[in-house]
Amino acid sequence: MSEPAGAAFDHELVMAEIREEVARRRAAGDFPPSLERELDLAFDRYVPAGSVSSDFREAIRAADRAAYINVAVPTESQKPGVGEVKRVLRKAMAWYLNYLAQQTTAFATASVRAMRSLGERLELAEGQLADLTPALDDAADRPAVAPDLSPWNDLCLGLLPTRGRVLHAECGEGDLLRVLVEAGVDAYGVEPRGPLVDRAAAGGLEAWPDDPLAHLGAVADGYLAGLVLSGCVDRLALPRQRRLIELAAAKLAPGAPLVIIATDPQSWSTAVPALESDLAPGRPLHGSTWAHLLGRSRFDDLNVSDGADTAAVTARRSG
Amino acid sequence: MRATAVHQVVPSLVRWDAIGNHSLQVQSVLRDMGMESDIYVNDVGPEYASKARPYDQYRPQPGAWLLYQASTGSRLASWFAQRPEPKLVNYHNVTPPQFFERWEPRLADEMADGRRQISKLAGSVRHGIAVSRYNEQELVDFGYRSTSTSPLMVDMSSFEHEPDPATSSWFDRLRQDGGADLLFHGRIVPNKAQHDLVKVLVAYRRLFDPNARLHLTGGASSGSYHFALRRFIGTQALWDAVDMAGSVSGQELTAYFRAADVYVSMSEHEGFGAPLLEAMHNGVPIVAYASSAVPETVGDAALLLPGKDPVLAAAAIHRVRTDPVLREELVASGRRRLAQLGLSNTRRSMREALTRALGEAG
Repeated sequence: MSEPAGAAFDHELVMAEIREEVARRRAAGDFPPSLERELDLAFDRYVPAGSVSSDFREAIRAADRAAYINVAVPTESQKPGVGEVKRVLRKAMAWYLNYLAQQTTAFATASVRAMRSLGERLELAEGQLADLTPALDDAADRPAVAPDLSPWNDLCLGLLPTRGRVLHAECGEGDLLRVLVEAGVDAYGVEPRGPLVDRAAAGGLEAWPDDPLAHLGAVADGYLAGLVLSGCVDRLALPRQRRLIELAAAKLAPGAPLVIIATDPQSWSTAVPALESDLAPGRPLHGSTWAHLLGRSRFDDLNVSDGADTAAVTARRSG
Repeated sequence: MRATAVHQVVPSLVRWDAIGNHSLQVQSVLRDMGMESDIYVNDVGPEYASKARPYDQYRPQPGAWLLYQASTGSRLASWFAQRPEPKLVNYHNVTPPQFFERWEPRLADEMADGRRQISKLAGSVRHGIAVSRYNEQELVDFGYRSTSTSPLMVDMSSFEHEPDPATSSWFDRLRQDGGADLLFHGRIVPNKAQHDLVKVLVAYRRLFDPNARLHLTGGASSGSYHFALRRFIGTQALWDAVDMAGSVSGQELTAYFRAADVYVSMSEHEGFGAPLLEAMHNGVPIVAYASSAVPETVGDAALLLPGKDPVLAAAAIHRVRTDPVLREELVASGRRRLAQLGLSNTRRSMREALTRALGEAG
């Protein structure tokens, strides 16, 4: 069965105009990203415990919320008379439901208490472990210098789509972000270092002060049409680098491209300020190592391009 | 051996079910081709009892082939796999289990089993006919060596109902308050992503139309997702703005479609998407997230969204609502697309696919 011959209207043009409207609305602050995130979080509260993220505390909180069995069954109805019938039934069955609910709630509360206790012990153990390998990833401890990504502008422009939202984390002062936006990519950035993100925002770019991991954790699954990771990839300790890949796989739409711009480990000490390199909890990975880790996750179409001090690893989220 | 009969093996044949109706059309096409063709089922609704036989009543005959309508995990799949007759599969898609893992682990296991069954059939099936190119690609990924695509056969006259008067007058009363009526029809399940429609409604009401309403028709197949959706609607104080109608009759559904201003889909997985055709049939413009088989089903008869950004979807709905020329073009495109997917064309397409399958494989 053939597709319709020729669209009756210019879909691309209409969508471009709609995107302009969206950009105007966003710039005017009519629907701030924080509201989108609040919506995501509001729904995630009801996703079965432990399935949205691997965050143990959040899982416990979700279990805690679910432990209370509410016998006040909603009785609203848009059909005439049905609400009244429901109210009568609720009242008539209250003695029975209360008896069951009290026991179920008691069991659930005791279970959550046991899990919380277990969690506290685990947290203590993790804290002691962390003391053995001190990590320092506080934005305030790092100098406000962003790496030069300009050698990879063309690669990013060739790969990233002009449809859908594209995130650059960390975007620094927004040099690459500006190149993308000017090319028609609906790109925004996050950057944890205040002075840098202020300069990006002052330049008219949509840049938010946020930690890449935290930001990606709050983005809806499959939301992103493209993702560029730089800066953070060089500094994070290995478990968090792997977490970054997991989040990228979850948040990118199927087929969406990922670009990782990673500092060459051999030039780490020269390409990155000594203060940053000395204090970083992790060390940069070779491009081929990123490709290996991505290949073990939900990415394919892997490619590594080596530059002077940095390497760009490109991949696509599997369909 | 040349085929003289192609009997269908259908897990479930019930009224109002798109795949059941498709199976009856396939039977008619096969009979037009001069084939003997019966339908063997596991479950059958009372209204179709005379049109099908229990699968354990099947008796082998020379020159007979079997065609399996694959849309779900079923014990019939293993029975079908053991049969010595030459085999064909008509693939409608089984929802990938990851959509259900967090919500309904048991259903997710069933879906994984269903997909495994279809994958395992690849070695013994001579040809797979998919109802969309998206589904055909899945068959290829499962390892099917010979495949083709022929769209779902939908009798558009099945959409013809007089709108339910009570529902229509209810809409009349709603409209007195102003505001757009957005509609989505489909089961309340995670892959249909009705929660994203609620997010779109929040954005649309905030940015463009504070009185807008969302109507969700279709029963729930996931209790936990349904529960979460209801709670989510409650947190947004949208009880008066979101109508969760549940299962509705054909007449009631027609009333919903006739009253809708825009049909909106944020579904993340559709093997074909029959309700999109119903929207076109009722002249309702479509705004849809371009996932899975949705783009090929709608052709150019929808504003297709590249992502699930609620603000983008809200702006697209607003554009459709406020641009009468665009609206008319979308509706007209819908009519053209429906004509392309009309029974005469899809029956011809199925006949070609079956001829190829029987000739190539035979």
